Amino acid sequence: MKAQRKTSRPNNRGKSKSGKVSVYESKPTRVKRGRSLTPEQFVGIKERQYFLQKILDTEPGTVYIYDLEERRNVYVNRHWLLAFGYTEEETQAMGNELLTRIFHPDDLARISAHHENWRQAGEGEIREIEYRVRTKTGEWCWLHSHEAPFTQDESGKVKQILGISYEVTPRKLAQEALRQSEQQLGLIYDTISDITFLLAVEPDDRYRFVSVNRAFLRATGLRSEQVTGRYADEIIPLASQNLVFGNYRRAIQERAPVTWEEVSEYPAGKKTAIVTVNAVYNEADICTHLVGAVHDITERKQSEKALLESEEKFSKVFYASPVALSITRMSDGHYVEVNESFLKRMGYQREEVIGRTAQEIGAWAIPIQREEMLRILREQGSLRNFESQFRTKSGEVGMALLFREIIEIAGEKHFIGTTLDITERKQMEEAVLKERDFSDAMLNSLPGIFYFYDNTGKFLRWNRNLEVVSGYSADEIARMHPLDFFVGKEKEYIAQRIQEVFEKGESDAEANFVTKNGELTPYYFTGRRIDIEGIPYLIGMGIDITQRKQAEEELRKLNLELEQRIAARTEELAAAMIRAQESDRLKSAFLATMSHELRTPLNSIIGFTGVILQGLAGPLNEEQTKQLNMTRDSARHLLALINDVLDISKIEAGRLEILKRPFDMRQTVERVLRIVQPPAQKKNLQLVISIGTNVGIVNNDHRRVEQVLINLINNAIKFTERGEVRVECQVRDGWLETSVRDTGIGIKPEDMDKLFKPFQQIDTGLARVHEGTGLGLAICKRLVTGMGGEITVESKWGIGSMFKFTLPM
Amino acid sequence: MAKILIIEDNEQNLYLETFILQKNGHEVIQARSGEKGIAVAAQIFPDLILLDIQLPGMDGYTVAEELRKNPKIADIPIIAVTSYAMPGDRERILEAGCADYIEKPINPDTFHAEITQYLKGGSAIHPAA
Repeated sequence: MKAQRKTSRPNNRGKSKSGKVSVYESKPTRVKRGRSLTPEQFVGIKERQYFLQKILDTEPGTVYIYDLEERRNVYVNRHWLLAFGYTEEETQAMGNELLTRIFHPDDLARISAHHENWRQAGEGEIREIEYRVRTKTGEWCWLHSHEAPFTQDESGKVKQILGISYEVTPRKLAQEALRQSEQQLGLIYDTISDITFLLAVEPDDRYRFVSVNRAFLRATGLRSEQVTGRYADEIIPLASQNLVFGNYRRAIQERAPVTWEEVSEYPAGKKTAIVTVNAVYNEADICTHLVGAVHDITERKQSEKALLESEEKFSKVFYASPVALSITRMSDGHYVEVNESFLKRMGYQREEVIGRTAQEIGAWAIPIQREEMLRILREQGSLRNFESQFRTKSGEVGMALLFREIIEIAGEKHFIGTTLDITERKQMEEAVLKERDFSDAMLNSLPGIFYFYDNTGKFLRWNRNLEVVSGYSADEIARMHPLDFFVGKEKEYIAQRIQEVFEKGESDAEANFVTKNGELTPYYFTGRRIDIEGIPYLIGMGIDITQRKQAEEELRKLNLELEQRIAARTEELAAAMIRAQESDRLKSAFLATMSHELRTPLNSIIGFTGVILQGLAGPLNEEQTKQLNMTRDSARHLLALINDVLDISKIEAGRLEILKRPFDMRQTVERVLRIVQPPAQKKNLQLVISIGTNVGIVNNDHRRVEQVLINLINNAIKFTERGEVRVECQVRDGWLETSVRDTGIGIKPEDMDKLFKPFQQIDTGLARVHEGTGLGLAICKRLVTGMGGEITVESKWGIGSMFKFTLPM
Repeated sequence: MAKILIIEDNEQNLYLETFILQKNGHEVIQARSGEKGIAVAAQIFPDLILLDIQLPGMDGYTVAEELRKNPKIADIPIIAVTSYAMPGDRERILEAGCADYIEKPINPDTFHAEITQYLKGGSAIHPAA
């Protein structure tokens, strides 16, 4: 359907585009162009116009028709003019600028957008808009407009709109004020860190969250949409609901704020809070809302808990301390608190002490000490290391070290007291002092000087002797160094010795000790290192060795004398030895010479007589033979004598020579037999030889063995008139045993001793003078002994004798 | 029958020893001093030398050593004839290079037998070991 265009034309035709506003007056309607109205139409229209005009003019609101294209009101009703105070002429004069002049700049954008939207609108739409306009007097007033499309253009877009507006300024202002105040309230509301919430109280004890502030959301970790509009029983944890709702009910009933502490588990964690709710009543005195404030005391609770724990801790410390602790109120001196150690030591029960003073319980053994303690405490505010005596319940008195500190408790001055029982310590100190006195007495009784110093040479302990001997006082010694007691080279020497003590553990030294007046005394010092708690010290003694030194000097002199004498003596001895050696040499020379000289003539005698007797020099008659024999026998005898004499001389001169060489014993025996055969035969004696099978090579002097054997056999022959001479030889236990047995006259027991002694001829009582030098057996013994063996004799007077000698193989 | 050199200064000893040896059929050369003995030995190369130890001047030990030094005559056995009295004499004799020794005064009965042992290469008079 084609939209009806009702355009208003201004009185001045053709000026509609200049923005002039038309005012419907009771003027004839312009008829559409090109058409003419019938009178009926005309009347009808007029009537309708009049009717419309009346309506429009009666209408309390302002009516206007706004052209969206031309951007101006093309019609406004009378009220519009009145409302704004403009005359028609003025309104016309404003033209297009009307809108910009009368609309509030803040609303212009909105209005423009609103108008734009109208272009697209459909026919039957009604839209509302509120905006401000300025009256002639400059005031702003709010208008609320209802608008509808009035005409469209060719394309169907809305061209003109018809609007009716009412002034809503009061309401708007109120709204605005409310909005602002709400905004402010909202800000405050949200800024409060305390949680606030508003519950609507609904029938059946149900509570619904109307609003909660940001703090609430933060605390609970919920989002606004999760809370607002929800019921409290959906939000508040089930476990707390009984308590919470009970309190709500109480608040409602008692018409007074109710406060309680609540622990709740929220997504953000467990929280402890103090909740207060207050009921709000309407005019009918029915509770409609509950306003609640929640003060999160989680942190406070935690600090409270921490504080409690800390208190507990310290409380434990106080009570469990091994040291006696007490807290006393200063104003009256009453014990406010004591710990177990205190009670135990003093021997009291808690109730006997708390509320009473120290004097009342008799703790002060010496009242004056209490005065003193209080004085110091007052002057200095605290007490340290105060020694005093205390008395326990049982009357025992002990020594204590007191410490007192003034503190404030609940605004009142108290002092905390620490009491250290030093009774034992004091006893030990005394004991130590006694010990020290004792050791001092001991050290002072030492005969020498005693010293004890550290490795810097600082004297720590010494005995009185050191002072007496050195002439220095105790004070002086305390400042001296060990080396101060020495001079010259000895200083260095002693320094070295001291170092040796510290390095090797001990040392000693002899040096001259210098007294204060410069006197020197020879001393012997010892030093030992001892470590006490890891620190090295030197401890030692010094002894006056003046006497020893003198003795040493005398000894030295004596020694010197002695040495001189010895030297002299040694010289003498050396000379004597030389002389002896000389004499020895002479003896040897003598023996050698004698041996040679004596034997040489005999060589001729024996030799020539032998040769002649052999017939080598020609035939002999019987008488010549006989006499030559006698001559030769004598010569042989002489030779034997010479040999014996030389032998015994050698023996006596210690020059017996034994040459051990392996030799065949059998051969030696055989040789000996050859030699002794003739004399044995002459006396018609049997010569019996028995040589053991194990007799073979013997390691000894074969010459001497021969000599002994010959001697023994010759003796046997000499002393035997009839019978036999038996020679036996065997090896037994590594020894060569040779025996010469005869059936001769034997030897008397009393003569046995003389046998082996030189020059002791035994008187056999026989007529014949026995040949021999008396040296034979003596020589035998010497020879056998010299060869490492033994010679023995067994004999029976009148039966016979056996001479046995053993030799090492 | 051997050539025997006797080095001996005592006339009687010399006479005795020579007499016995000659009577036993040996050729005897005499030297009355050590030096002479050495010279003679080197000239005549005896089969045996009888050396008196107790010689004046160059004593027997030295003579023996000297005889041993000469390689030509070093092998000739020397028998020392000695009064033998002092300790060490035996060693010295043997060390000087003598094969053996005979003691003075000699035993005229056994003298020749003892010597000829060396001529025959028989066993020693005194074990020289």
